Amino acid sequence: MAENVGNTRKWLFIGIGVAVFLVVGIIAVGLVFSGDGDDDDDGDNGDNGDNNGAEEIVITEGELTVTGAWMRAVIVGDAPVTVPEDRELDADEAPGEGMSDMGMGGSNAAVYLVIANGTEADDSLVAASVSAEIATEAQLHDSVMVGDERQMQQQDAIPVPAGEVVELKERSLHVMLMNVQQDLNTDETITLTLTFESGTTLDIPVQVVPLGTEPTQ
Amino acid sequence: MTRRWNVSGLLLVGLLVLSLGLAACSDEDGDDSVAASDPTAAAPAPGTVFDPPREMGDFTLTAHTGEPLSLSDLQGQVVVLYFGYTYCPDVCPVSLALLNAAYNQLTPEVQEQVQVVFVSVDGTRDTPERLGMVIPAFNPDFLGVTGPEETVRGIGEPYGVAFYRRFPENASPENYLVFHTSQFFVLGQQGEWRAVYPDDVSAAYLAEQITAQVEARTST
Ligand SMILES: [Cu+2]
Repeated sequence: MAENVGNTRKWLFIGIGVAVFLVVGIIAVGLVFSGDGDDDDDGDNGDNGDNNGAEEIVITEGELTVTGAWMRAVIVGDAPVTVPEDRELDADEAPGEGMSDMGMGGSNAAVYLVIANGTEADDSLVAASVSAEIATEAQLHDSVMVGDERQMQQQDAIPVPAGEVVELKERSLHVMLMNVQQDLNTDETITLTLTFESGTTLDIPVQVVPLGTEPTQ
Repeated sequence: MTRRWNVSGLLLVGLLVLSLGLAACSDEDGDDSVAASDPTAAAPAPGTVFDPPREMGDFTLTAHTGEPLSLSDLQGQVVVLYFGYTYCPDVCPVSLALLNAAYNQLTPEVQEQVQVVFVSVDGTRDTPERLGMVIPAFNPDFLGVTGPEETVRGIGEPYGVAFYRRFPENASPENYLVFHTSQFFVLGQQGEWRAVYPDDVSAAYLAEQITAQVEARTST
């Protein structure tokens, strides 16, 4: 009998515990959702404004749209960077070209954007380009974790299925400008040309934001 | 969006742990299986704090000012080390931007006791002048240091830092990439290694962790 009372008390306490658990849980979940959308403007320093506002992206029916393209500033500098042949390449540094001792050391830079496919057909981003004065080439990349290292892997295409939104964002898919030729300063805009498998070609403005712009999580 | 999730998520986990704790405490038989059997309660905080901290060697490289800089010159400050290179297209700018955002969230008193140091893994292209153009553009208080790649390799090794060159297709040979470990290393006032964080933590969380290290050393 005494044991029974003990057990009852035990279960009562557990019951109370579970009830508290549920109540606080529900309140917490409520907080999570009520917190949504009211504090977008917290970053004074390097605020990238609506450039990362993927939540506002609307799919336009019948259209393939690209919005919110941005990149961080690029400092190329004016002095050509000489690359001396100062060391032998390690075996894993394939494909084994030697270091050239002339030419610019290239600055590469990532462009982020949002593609919304409002059409009824699957599509793919297959190429990107910028004017030769800006960079020698634009490649499609993905950034993946290999152990503790983030590695960039070139992509032949970035699929954009019908009715879906694909975000090119930090630490993920991006367009990489290879060998940027000139400084790209905050508040400048460059034009990026995107080519899709369907034949659609879009010229989109890319806004340059400060280097210190806080990353999106 | 996700930043809000992080904060609220932490709160949620905290409250769940608290309520589980209540349930476990009220269990007279001392049977703690209630708390132990809930795997969701233990969402781990990112990163690793070493207790005790690990003794690390000193090193000397060239700062972006052109002056030699030794880790021991920064004694008395909490040092945040990041290994990267200025021609890095994606990873390093994002990490430096994150460090800038975290640094800006520190109080001025804490900022005075913190030094962020960017260690170049690309001494060939990252001259002190080049670092001087780029690193202060992220934050004028940050220091960039550079030196021969083999020296930096030796410095990074005890931290588990590895790096090697890669040549993207169609890129000119001097336009190589350097794949490298991307983590934030937090060192204490004697240069001892206190913590390591992945590069995708939130700025707020990193600021909190750095502040905790500054305060830990102030109180001892
Ligand atoms: Cu890339």
